[in-house]
Amino acid sequence: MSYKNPLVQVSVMAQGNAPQAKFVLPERLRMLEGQLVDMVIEVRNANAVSNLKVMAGAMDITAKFAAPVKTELDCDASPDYVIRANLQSLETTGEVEVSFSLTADGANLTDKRVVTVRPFSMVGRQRRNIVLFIGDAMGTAYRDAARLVSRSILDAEGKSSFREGFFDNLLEMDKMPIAGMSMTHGTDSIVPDSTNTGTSWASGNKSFLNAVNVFEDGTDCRWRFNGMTTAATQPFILDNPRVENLWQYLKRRYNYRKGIVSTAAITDATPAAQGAYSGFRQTRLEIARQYRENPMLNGAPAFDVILGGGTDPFTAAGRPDRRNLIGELQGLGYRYVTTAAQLKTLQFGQPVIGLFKGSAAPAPGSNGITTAADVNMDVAYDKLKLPRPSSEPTANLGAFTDQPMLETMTEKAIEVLSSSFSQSPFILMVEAASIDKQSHPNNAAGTIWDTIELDKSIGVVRAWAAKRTQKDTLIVVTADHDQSMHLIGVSNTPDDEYLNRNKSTQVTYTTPAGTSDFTVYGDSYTNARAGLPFNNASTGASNNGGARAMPGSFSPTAVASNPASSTYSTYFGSPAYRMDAATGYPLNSGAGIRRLSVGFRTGDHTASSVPVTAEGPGAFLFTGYMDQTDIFFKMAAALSTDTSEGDKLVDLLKSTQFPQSVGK
Amino acid sequence: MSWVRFVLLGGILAGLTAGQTLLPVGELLRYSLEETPEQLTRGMGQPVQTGEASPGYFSWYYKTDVLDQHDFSHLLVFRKSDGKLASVTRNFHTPVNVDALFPAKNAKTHYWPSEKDPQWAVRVRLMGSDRLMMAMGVKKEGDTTTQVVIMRRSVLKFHFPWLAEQLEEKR
Repeated sequence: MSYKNPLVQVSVMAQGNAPQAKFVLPERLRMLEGQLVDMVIEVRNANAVSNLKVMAGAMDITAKFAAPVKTELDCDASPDYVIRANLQSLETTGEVEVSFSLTADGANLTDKRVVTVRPFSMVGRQRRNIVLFIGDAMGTAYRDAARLVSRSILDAEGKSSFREGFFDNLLEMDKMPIAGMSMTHGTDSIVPDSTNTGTSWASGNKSFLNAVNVFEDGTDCRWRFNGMTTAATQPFILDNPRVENLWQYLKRRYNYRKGIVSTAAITDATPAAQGAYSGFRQTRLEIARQYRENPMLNGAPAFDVILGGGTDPFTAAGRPDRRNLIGELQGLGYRYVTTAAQLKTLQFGQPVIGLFKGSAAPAPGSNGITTAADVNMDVAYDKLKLPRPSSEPTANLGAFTDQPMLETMTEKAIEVLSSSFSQSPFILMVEAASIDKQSHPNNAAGTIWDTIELDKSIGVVRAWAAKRTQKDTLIVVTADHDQSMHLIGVSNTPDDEYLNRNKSTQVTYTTPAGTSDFTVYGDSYTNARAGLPFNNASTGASNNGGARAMPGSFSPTAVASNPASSTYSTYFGSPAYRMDAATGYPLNSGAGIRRLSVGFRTGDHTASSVPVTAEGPGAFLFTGYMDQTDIFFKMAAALSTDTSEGDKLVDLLKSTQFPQSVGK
Repeated sequence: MSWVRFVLLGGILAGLTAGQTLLPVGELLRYSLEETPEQLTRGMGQPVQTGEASPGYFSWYYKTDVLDQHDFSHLLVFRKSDGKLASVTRNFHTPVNVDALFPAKNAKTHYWPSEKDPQWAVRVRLMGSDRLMMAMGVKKEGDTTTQVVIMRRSVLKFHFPWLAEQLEEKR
């Protein structure tokens, strides 16, 4: 049968009762030699399972599997079994067929996967570092916006560093010699989130929305589709097959030092991809626990450097188990810092945890898997104390008035990671989280200044790497996914409108579904928000096409002294900002300012590909269009293969015999 | 009946005062779990996302109010076998008091994994016609929650088997 409603064109078929069995591994599983993965077999509609035999190539690995465990898959009444072999690896490289056979209720069942196993060895290789920068949601428009704002600077004589369509000085990430594009789709949605994208680059495999380095399985129905993500369903959130990420792989096999730096709560999706394994990104208490005792490292801590926000899940008050994870890490020799001033005093290689923002009173959340709050660091715009545009929320740093800028966190992370007594190489992920978090509510200023902050952090590492006698550090800059911001022109709205929170107007639009009310502030020419019917009455060259271009062709029923319709905005021209010499960041107010105008189509992620730029040994691997999972294998290849010929070619590109970009 | 009326009626049925009807929890009482997809879309509009939940279920996802960008306000799970609603999950961005939905004489707290080892609590109200309502993480009156679920008792054993067993033991 099927339903008439187009949203539920679901054919209902009788469920077969014959026994079935399958590997809970993706069809296109790709691994590194020795990379750990949970091998899981699900057997459905069976009362008894016997005669299991599992082969990996020519090797019988049956003994690695535990006895079948009776369970309930798919939230139905049929009897089912799960057979697990946790944390297995394949040491044979190439295309390896992994297959099983078993008997279930008298039926002989088989399944197989052909796993691509890439070689990885650092024996005899130069020990190289990797720094991966993630601009969360930093699609092309976000990079372009950061460039136009931070590189269109007027000097004292009024001369702009952006003239005749050229920049005197491109972004740090623009100057990296190699560029490519990364496709970010997940297994269950073309529009991904920060967890399944993190899984892609961290573990080399794709997964579903909200999944951190795990694959989907038959118990997901208990939590994933009904939203019942609680302490009581957490065992089924944590039973998904895990696949080891590069951070733990390099530590386990080559004693790498490893770090995460983020302006988010440090248990947020992107940093979690480097250190945790969970079906659901919001299992924050468990993610914090796995940072302390990582399952791939026999319970050793996941990182040597942890810098970010989100103190709560590490505190005894925030955890139902009352474990003080900060204290436990201190007991293992970690230094703990909470302010920029403390961070700046750090020297040498002793491990460190720095948590720069938390709740006033941490407490467990009612669901038993999170804290009541998990607090991100404040955004660059607010840390710089710049005045927010009239439609964006005002800064509220609370008691956390000394939070470090991302470039300071990055500099200190590099210092700590690179100065171990063992001279171990390191792998570090640095995330500018609030490019995304400010883009969700369409806060243009918040988003753009966070992208500039990331670029400064990239500059810190580029300068550090350039000074090293050995060119041994690969720097990769990319995004997890895109968001919907686009660049639409330039505005010279004066400060008394742009910043004036007391001047706004209500615009009411009538649609066939009813009326919608919008509040329009004086910064609307620089920030055309998603869903806002922007009626530009002052010029034919409207910033976003005018009301006729809006979805559904809304017709205004009441427009009264719209502050955005009578200002000085223009589609043409170039932006012009002044630099704050004290901070090195552009100011967003002052006489003569001409601001970049942006618009937002939605407040959410998009499925568009995102740029990748790279520099250092092996950087040439990152050219061209690639899947996001390729980033994992390219980083691994940069460490374990001879890249010298490719590196020479990249150096050749810098020769003046070939054309060079202005400002690069 | 319009959505607003549903909410107001829900609030009244829950014994809320006029001021408390601002809380969105009253809407939960309106779900009989017998609603057809057509009735649901008339009341709630189109879901922002739909998807297969498992071989036996499919889900509708709504964002009707401000939540973290990764959360949905409502998750509706349907059984494929008969197209009936199996459960409705309502998420709240900030914790809400739902005492009005769980009057003491009709509600009981259950503990996971067991009363002897109480690691987490859920407040349960048995309702008529194969329904029950659960307030996640609520131990006692006055506690707040970020999630309330209405579910058919007949599917509880597949989604929350430990609770189904405890309820069965109490019979």
